[in-house]
Amino acid sequence: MSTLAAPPEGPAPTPSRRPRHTARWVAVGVAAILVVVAIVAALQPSYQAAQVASPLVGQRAPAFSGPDLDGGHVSLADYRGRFVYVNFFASWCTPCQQEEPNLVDFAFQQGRQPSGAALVSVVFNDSTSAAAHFVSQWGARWPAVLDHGGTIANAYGVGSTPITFLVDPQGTVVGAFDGPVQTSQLTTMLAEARRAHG
Amino acid sequence: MLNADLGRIGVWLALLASVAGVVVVGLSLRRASTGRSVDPRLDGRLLAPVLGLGAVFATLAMERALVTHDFTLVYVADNNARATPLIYSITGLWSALAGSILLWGLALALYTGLLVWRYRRRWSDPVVRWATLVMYAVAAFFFALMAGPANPFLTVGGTAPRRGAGPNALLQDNPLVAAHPPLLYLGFVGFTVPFAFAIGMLATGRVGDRWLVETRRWTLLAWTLLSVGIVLGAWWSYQVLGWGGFWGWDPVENAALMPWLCGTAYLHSVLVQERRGLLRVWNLSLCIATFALTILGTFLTRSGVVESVHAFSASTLGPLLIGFFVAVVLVGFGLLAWRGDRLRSPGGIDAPLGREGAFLVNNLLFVGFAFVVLLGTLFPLLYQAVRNQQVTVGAPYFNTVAAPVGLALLLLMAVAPALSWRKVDGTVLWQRLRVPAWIGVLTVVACVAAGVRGVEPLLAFGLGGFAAASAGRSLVLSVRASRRHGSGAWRGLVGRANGGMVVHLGVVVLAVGLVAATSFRSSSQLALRQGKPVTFDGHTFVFEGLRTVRTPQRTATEALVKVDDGGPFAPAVSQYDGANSEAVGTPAIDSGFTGDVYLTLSGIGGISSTGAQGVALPAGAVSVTVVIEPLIAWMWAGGLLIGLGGLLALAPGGRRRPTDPVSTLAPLAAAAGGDGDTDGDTAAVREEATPVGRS
Amino acid sequence: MAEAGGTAAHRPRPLLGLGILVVVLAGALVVGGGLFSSTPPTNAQRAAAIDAQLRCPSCIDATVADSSASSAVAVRHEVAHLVAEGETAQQIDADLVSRYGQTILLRPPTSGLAAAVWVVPAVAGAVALGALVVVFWRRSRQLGRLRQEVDA
Repeated sequence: MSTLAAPPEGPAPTPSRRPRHTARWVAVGVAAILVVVAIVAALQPSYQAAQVASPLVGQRAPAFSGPDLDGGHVSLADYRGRFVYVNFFASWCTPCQQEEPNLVDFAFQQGRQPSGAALVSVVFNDSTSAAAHFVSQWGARWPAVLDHGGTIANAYGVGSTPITFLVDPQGTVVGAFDGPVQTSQLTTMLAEARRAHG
Repeated sequence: MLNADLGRIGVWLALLASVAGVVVVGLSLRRASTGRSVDPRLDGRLLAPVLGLGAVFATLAMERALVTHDFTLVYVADNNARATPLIYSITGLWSALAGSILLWGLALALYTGLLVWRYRRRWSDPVVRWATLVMYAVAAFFFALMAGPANPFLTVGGTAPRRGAGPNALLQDNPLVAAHPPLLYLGFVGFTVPFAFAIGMLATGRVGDRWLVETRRWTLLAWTLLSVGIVLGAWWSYQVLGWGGFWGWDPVENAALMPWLCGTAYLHSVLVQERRGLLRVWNLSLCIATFALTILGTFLTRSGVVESVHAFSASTLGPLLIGFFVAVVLVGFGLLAWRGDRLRSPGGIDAPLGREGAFLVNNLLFVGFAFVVLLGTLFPLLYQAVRNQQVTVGAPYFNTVAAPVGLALLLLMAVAPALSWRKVDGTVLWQRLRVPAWIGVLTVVACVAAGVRGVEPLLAFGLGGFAAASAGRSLVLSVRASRRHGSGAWRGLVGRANGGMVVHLGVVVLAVGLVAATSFRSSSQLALRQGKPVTFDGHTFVFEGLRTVRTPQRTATEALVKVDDGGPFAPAVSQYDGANSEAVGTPAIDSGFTGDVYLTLSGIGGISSTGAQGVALPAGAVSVTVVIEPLIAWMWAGGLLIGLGGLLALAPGGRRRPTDPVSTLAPLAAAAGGDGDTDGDTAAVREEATPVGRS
Repeated sequence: MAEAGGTAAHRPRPLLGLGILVVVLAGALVVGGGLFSSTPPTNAQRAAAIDAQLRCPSCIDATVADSSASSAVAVRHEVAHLVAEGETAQQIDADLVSRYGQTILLRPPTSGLAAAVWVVPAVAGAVALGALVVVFWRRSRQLGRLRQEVDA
């Protein structure tokens, strides 16, 4: 039969200190989390080639062979015994356009050395005519393989361009770049690979 | 050149007005607080129309440049072409980063003006002035961005190009581009107003319940616009992107979802504060967090930090936006900590089975889910910063968390309207919910009988039926009650509680559509020869022929396909004029009440493919990808209901408050609320209110 | 079913009604849960299920199952080929990860540091639930004490 006349608010034996600190702890906790998140989120990668830890590094480079833009036939096995850069590109990809002159410079330099590195390009998701036009526009003289069915890109785990792999004379992948490369980056990686190779 | 100059004038005018506004209002507050009389010339309100003028001026200048194809502006050269139709020229304002910030500024100016106008008779109240000051400050920030690093009116050095690049192909494919970004931005920016009032309350120390209650209409408006904006965005993606998907847990989609989740939580928990004066700290925190998340969302969208479908080019805005976000969080939560002792609520939540408990669980679910979405979106960045390796957090992660949360929320939606405040008797609850619960169970039985399989979809449909019946019950009771009181039946549909029930109905319809479309989707790639019917999943497809369509804007190859003798539908591959475009697939959709048939043209026989089409199609045949999505149209209908419900909730209900709210110093003598009904609120529950304190 | 009215004599009725409801629901779910009808998935279904959990390598946000990009098509062909050879989903995933890296899987890994993305929400959820339980329990004890005081 007893009914409460008043709701249990007011001078109830609540621990009076706790609610005051609730607001403060909430504030501090939330602010701390968000500030940490904000600082980390503000770290932006700059858009230049980064040497990536591709899962293929240290593995055997997947073999490929196919027709090239000039009508000949190219396969990776042809480059056994030499260092070779395998570069994936597409004519419609803007960073590929950025890096192409650097690749041309690199190829020119390597061509003047007795055992310079070779360069092979793979056409990624592009039409033959567009790729051929791109290559001739930039004066690239090294072979470019056509990738029918996207199998070469799939074998190398390439989903976007430009990506460049360095393969050693034994056919092992020793390094990879994701993004448009500078000539200096190519020569540096090559020099390190030669040193490690002995 | 003229457009660029006009635009810059507009931006600078708005910037100066907002900065002056901050200064003037700040000074007047300072004077008032030290007891000196305020110079009537120092009326910060007058700067709001100037701010609005500047914003409108700048926007019109950009629109004029777009409509007249003025390629001296970099933005127009990059996002417009001569062949672009008028509507897509107009929508070009928001088709890229630099222009869309103008839209944000315009929305801010609009809301500032609305706020000043709405409270023009209460200018003497320091909370109103603080709120206005905060609005000016936020506007100043965005217009400063526009004056500096995010200048939309950059001019081309040298001679203007004769041809523009045209909008992105996906952005000139569908008229929904005219609706989604403006509604979305109006929703986002709308949350600035409750935040401004929250800051005002904290800064003045007047943290009683009245102002928070007063601003709930603003929150509801922003929430409704944001909800409809998000659903329209999903609909647009569905129509345009080509694989029948509508939500990819894209970082930018998540950036829009997070403030929505917190805003929904806030809308619910503020009811508890109204009724019982509880959860004050929580509500203010949510209010601040919702606004902070809109800024974080802007940062995620504009800085390109996390790639997404909406990614614009990389910009230097990143550090500035993240700095503003940090400032908002520090100021907001700092003020909250400072005033924490005044925010103690008398009383507490008595029992988990009461309405307060239900709202608390509701809030935990929404805010918890928002936290998980935030974590999942930022995790790849955090991981890369720590480990320098990449990891993807994709749809399977978010779906795994979303499914149980969604089911729990459906259950809450069903049960909560029948709960009374403080405590509820189990028998009474069962009495109220008996019929809706049976409707839910019978829904499950009917679905099983109809051949639906799968525990999760069945649970979702059952709970949906339960929740819809519960909402329907509330509406019926409310209509009956208002008819009995002589106000007419339609009054029973208007007002916050009833509008809320309509929103719940909309949510159920949307949820049912979503579950059906994702769980029972089937797709296949069909090779269609001319004139030969092919059946798939109960539908018949007949390819009738190819057709080329040429307009100045686009050249498209269409495949005419009849679906079940309806149509013909024309999925196409379109090439838009301009350098900005590549060939895109334009899907065709046969929409129906029971489901959509979604067609995409994936290959044309006899043409040497550029990509990796393994299947060799003979000339004269086409390859069409068909996706069958059951009940997906219910999603868009549900969105419409949600918008309608929000509008109903905004409309004034039964009685208005007899007195204007006046901010008072806390703590209040008694918990606010419980002293009479306002706005058609809880009329249905009042019919069956259990007396408090029954032993 | 039980009529309206809340006298003590009717109290057992709600439980009966609720009980019947639960039984019907459970029955429907058991039938509908597909426990009684499960044909093993075909190769195509298995491949489609695997495809739906893979990220299209050259798209920004699509799955391999949905996208028509050349890289997605290439991966679909390989997955179909491997499924036909009898590889399990884990083996196929590992194959693809060995070339594309962890990012080709849409689901974040459940081991290592990256598993934090699963662990943190679970822990936070448990903590929140625990806090809720504690708060309600304290409150109900407090109310109980007050009632005793008032009644005394």
